[in-house]
Amino acid sequence: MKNYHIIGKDGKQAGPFPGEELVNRGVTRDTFVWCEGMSNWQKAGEVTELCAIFAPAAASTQPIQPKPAQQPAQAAFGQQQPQTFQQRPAAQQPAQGAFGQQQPAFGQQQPQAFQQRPAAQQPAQGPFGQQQPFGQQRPAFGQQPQAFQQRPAQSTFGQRPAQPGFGQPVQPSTGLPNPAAGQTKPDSWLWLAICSTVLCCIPLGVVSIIFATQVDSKWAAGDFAGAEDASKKAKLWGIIAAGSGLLAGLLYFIFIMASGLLAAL
Amino acid sequence: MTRRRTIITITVTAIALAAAAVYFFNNPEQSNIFPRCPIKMLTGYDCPSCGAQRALHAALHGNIADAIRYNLFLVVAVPFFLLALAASLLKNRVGRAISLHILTPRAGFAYIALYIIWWITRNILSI
Ligand SMILES: [Zn+2]
Repeated sequence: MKNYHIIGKDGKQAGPFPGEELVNRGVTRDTFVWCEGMSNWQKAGEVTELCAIFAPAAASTQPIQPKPAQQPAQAAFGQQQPQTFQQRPAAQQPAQGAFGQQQPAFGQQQPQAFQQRPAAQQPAQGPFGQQQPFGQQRPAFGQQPQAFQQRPAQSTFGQRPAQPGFGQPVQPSTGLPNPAAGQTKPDSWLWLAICSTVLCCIPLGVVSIIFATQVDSKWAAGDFAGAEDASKKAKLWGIIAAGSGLLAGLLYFIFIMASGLLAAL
Repeated sequence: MTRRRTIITITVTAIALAAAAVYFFNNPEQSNIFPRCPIKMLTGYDCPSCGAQRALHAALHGNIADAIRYNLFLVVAVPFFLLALAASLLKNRVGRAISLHILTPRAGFAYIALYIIWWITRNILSI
């Protein structure tokens, strides 16, 4: 089993802990967990691998955190939940998906991924196309309750690759794949970047390497838009660098051939 | 998307094979068909890649020791390149593990740092 980071009942991150240990550490089906490769924090009960660790009895025992599944009224949840996030300073946002960061910040990742992901990446936009509050400028979690007002029917959420956001009603045990699973990871183009450093185009190759190595770490951190962007830039600079190196070599070759021919005439 | 991948793969392979043929049959040390390094010509200093063409010719003829002598940095660049190539081509667990755990941003910076250190030292030590 993988190692999971967890959000304790104090709201703080802890871990990583091996999956088997999670129950001993007070994790219930409703505790948010994250492990490498997951695009976002998910409830432990929704992580396929972790389903096994919850005995049937454990499901109904006292939960660590009050969670929507236990709460009869969704609206109450909507009001309660955001407060925790409002306290989070906005200044933390820009650091998101920063260089080398491996782990999505708790609760922040979500809106960004939605809002910035290129439209082409979302073939199955679903009925939320325009209405989705996520389409607006990076919603703070304090704004989240809008999601409830605009949500006409829970079932429509099922059409979108399940993305249980905080403050968003989480469908119990969606067997649906992660959003990351439906999307292919953009290529890093690192091989091209390295080629270009060796093909004598030093500054461009260096730029390309920097972007190329960001692709996968951003992807792993759930920053899909950032990964996509880094991939495009790595590709662009790699092609420019390696291409100009090749072109220069080719032109030189043609020049030598031509002058050789001329000399022979 | 897969069709595009195929086109890219074929193009790159064709270029690589053509280049390999050119460098196999011509010795950069004697032939004048190969481009001179612009940095070397303009400044008189070796660039980090100087010697790579001679090294490629030597390596294609099986002289790995000579290849390394021409450009020591290839000892870093070639494995790094092969890992990157594997990470791009392998869509399985291995490919993901390589890109996530080995080819990290830190590794990218390390590569660039080594590249620059190599550039400076080779000119000081004339290697
Ligand atoms: Zn050079």
